[in-house]
Amino acid sequence: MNIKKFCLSSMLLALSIAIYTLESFIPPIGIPGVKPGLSNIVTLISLMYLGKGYTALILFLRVSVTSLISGTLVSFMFSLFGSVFAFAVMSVLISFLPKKLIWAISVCGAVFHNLGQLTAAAILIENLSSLYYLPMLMLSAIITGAFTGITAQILDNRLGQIIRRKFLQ
Amino acid sequence: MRTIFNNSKFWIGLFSAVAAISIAAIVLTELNTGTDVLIFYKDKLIYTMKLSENETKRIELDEGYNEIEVKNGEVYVKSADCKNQICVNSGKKSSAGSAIICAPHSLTVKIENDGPADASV
Ligand SMILES: [Zn+2]
Repeated sequence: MNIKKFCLSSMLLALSIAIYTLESFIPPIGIPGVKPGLSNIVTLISLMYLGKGYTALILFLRVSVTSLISGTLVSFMFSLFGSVFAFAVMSVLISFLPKKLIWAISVCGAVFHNLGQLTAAAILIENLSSLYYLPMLMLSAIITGAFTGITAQILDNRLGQIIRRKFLQ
Repeated sequence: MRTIFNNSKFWIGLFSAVAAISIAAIVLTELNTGTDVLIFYKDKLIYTMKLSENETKRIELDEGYNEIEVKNGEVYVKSADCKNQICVNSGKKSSAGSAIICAPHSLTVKIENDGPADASV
């Protein structure tokens, strides 16, 4: 393991835990599962600079740590399914889509994150009533995914050079 | 390699289509008023209510309780002791096909229509 990459991944992990925790203070809007998903910005940045292995590790640690903080098996299930689904689709797309389409990769990630959460809900309640929330979750994923994706793209434009020089050379 | 996937327009089109279908599905569901409230624990039906009759029912489970109220043609979870309180925050439902879910308690409050057109579960 490269020490500079290790430092960068630790920073991204800390950042994603902080963002995720802050986000949990946002009051519920009445539709379960609808969240800004801001920690996806960190996942995208990590996929761009550190690759799949480090990103999977950061995600798994983030899910574990935040679930230890909030402390329920249910929240761990939702978080894990959302993250695994989002990671699976984004790590495939990022290897064959150009950088200008980070926003689209992000939307796909958000869509699959929410599909993962619906799957977790279906497993927990042992029926498919959660499908009622599918259209609302798809709409919110498109909006929040585009937002986090464009944010990651702007961050890449502004900070990409510095991050590469300091941590990846 | 130039493929259709490398084109922004493909993705904008795809996401617009998904968004349009989602909006249509939301509107169609909202238009379809329900009549019956079915309460499930996992996949087992444990209690039914009528949307036309005001009633409050406290469901006790090993996992905890949910107090479910039907009032003025709408159903909602009045209170519950689950940790995430998502069921309580889900608001009032009245359309057929809608549902309130309490994942920590494996509880589902489902609204259906008993009309002749009903072909759902
Ligand atoms: Zn609940």
